[in-house]
Amino acid sequence: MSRISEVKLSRRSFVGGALMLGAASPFLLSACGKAEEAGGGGGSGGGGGTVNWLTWSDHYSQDQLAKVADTTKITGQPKLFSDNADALLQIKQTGSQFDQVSGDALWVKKYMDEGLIEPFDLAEIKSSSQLFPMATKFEFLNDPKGALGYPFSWSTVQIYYNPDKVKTPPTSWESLTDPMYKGLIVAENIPTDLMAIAGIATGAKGSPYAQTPDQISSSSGFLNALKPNVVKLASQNNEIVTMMASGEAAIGISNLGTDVRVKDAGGPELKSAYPPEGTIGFIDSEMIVAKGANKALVKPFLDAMQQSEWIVANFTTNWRPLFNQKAAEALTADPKTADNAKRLFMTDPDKALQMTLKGPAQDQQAYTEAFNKVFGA
Amino acid sequence: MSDDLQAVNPRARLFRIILSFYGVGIYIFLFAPIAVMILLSFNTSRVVGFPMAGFTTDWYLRLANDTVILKALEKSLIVAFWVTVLSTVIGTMAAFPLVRANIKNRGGVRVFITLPIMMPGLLIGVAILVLATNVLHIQPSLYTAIIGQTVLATPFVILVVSSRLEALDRNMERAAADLGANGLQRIVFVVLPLIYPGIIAGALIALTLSLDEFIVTNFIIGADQTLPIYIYNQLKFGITPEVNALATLMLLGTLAVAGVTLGALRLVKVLASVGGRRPGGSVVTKKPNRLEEPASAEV
Amino acid sequence: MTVASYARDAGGGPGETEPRRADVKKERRDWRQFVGFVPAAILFGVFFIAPLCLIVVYSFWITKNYELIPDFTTANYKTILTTGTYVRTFGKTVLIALLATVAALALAFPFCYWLVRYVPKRLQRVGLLLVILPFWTSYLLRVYAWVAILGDKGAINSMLKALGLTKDPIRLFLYDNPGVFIVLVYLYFPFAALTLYASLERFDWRLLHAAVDLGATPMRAIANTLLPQMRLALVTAGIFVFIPILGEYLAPSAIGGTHGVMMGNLVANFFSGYLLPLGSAASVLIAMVITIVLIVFRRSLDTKEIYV
Repeated sequence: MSRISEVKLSRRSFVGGALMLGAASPFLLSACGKAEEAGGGGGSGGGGGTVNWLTWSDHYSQDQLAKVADTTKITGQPKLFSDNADALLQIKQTGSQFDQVSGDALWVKKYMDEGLIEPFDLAEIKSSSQLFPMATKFEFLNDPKGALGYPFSWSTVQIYYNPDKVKTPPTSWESLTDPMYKGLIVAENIPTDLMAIAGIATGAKGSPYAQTPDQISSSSGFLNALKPNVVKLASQNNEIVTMMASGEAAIGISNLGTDVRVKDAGGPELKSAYPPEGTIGFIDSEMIVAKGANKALVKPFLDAMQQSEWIVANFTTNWRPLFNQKAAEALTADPKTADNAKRLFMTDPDKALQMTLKGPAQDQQAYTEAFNKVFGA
Repeated sequence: MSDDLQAVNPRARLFRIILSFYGVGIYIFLFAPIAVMILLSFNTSRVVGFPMAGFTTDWYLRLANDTVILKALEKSLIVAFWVTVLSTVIGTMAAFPLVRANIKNRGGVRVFITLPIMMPGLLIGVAILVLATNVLHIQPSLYTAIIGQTVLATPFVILVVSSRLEALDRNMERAAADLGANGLQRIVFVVLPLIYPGIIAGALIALTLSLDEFIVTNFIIGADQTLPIYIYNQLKFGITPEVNALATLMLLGTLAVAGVTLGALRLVKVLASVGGRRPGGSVVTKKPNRLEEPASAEV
Repeated sequence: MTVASYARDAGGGPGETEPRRADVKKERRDWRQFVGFVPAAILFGVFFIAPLCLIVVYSFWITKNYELIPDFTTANYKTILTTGTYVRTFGKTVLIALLATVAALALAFPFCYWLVRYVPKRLQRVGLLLVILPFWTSYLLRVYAWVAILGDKGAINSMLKALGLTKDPIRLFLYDNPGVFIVLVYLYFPFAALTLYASLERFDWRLLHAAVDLGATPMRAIANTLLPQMRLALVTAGIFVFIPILGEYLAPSAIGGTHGVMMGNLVANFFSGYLLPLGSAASVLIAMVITIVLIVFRRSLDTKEIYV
């Protein structure tokens, strides 16, 4: 709110104001002119365009977008989100503005049910030949009419901790509620997934995403007990990494590879604890938005973005496994990355099917309400 | 002024010294985060914190190549331009009846006009989004963002222009009426020139508001990004010193524009006082006879 | 108006029964004076009032599985007003807003006093400009810069560590309520300062001299002559700080962590989960508080007093 302040100046800067506007207008107009040039140049550079992409920050890099734009003349324009529910809502509300959206495993079906995405022929995207064969056969990504999503990456959610600051390592989800961990935990701000973890922690039978009202209330109880120990709910994994690197959090509920990322960011050496109660995980994919204005460009865009070199780069930045087989082979061949590739399941995509996959809750509303009741204040 | 108080009471001197330290302290408080922000834009490490890992201007260089930022800047400027134009026109038009029309409950109308500023931006953003998507069935876009920001900016224009209008001496208009000007002519040739500083100030406020507006815009702009939205994404999803570099440059840019303006203002003041009267009613010159001096100097 | 027309409009003498031509003409002209309101009325009507009405309507509906279902129920309001967490958040928001307002005013008043009395007139303008300057940086960055100051590796902790005063970082402020409080005061201090300055600048300082001449100490002089006249400005400044803080959600979300949650965060969470009715109900409650405060203190919005 930078507005009200200027009002009081009106007495003093009348003419100054006039001149400021005058001085600003050539700047404004020239900027518009320059922008038109830039926009026009990109557009008229032969059959290119823009793909408006709703995604997570670890699905691309700036270099990648720039190089892909150079070779294919298609400029990817990412907008970030943190929660699948949020993304679904945005796609629903914005109609034709987004062309491509990233989403987790079981959410893909919901997108399809709502008519927000359209199936496509995976074979039309040449880079799909680089994928692990099993990745193309996921039943939640496939439909009689075609593929619903282009499989990208996956990971389990586990507990990472800093052994220097955490003397007694956590042994399970339940143990995280112990008061000795007060103010040490950081987790991603995804209400549905946190409720699911709570369901697993309280031993709820059946799918953690289809809890009964009784189960929901014991999950709420778990989250209530956990709350004093949580210092912050982060918007994305990046924030978890920075907080653990700077020492602001000592325990992170996060994706695979967080330890490597924290080390890369100059942080301490983390250890991981795999909760015996089980955990959730995600398989994410790229979907084509049915009403997208530029949806025709998504397939060539994906073809360029999903080449193995970029997947290799993505792995060495984010350190969680991806489904590109060619990239996996390249990573194991390189002695610098071979260890991590193996440890972080890059070569073992079958593990992905053993997780409880993230998805929408059966009663999304109840989940969100229960979560807000705990973390609302 | 304060000196004679000191003569009366020696404690006043101490009071003054304490207050001066306090005043400077407040400035330090105000500028500390900005100093930190600028400092960290030179940090080699991406992790936010001290001590700094090293000193580098890399982030500034990366900014130049970042097409996303340039696109966001373009969108910001487009939106800002239209918001300024719309809110200034609408606001100025509305200021007249607010001040001059025969309204029974002027205070009530005033409260109503200030409502858009006082309501949480969150609420306004969501409300307009819901109206657009559920009722009007139009997509969030740059246009909805422009309208949303105009709703926020217009009250300021109205308040500023109306305060200037209220202080206006109506005799000018009466004189013009006596000389045969009709209503429209009076407004265009007498009132507007007299209140234009207020209009300009209002336009400036709208411009500044629009450039930094985030909350409402984020809800109703759809896939496009303005600069504040870009900054928000960067901050939320991966703090890099690049954003700090961007903010530092924006600050420098604004300072530069202000500096150039003040310099130009000085120039205009000098030229105007040599040339004659300036619109605004009163002539702000220190030597009332200045008009005669250049002539006599030439002679 | 010329003298003649003034006399004409002043009212008829005895025996005037029909409205005179001048009066009829004036009535017909009456609507024309409101023409200027039309564009603003359209703008605010369609894009401010209508959306807000929609929100009020939605607050009585329910959602099921991402679908809004028209209904008429006060269940949403009941939920908000009876759930412990929500009530606590609401109360905490009002409390923080009040505290921050008091703090901002308390900080701003001596500052403005200093600026008006002890700083040379020419420099006063520069001084004001310096207060506004932070507004020319991005609001978001000003908030996030506080993370770099208050955090574990922030400026304060690093300095304390370098000076050898502490070994472990002090986690006093970040990700908790005191941090949110500090940042809010920081963000809204200029509003208070500018409003108070405008009023303080017009104060006739000779009254202070007179008071001192009559035997008051400087402190008493200020209390008895200055403060009463500043009351209106203090109220206005208070409003300009209090009301926006009620709706704040960016600062608490960045600085507050899980414990510094304010009403704005709650509303944002509701809306992003498409729990429109609950979010609308919460918003209506906030909007009601704001409107009531505005109506109670409407005199302080009289622009003539503040801006001219």
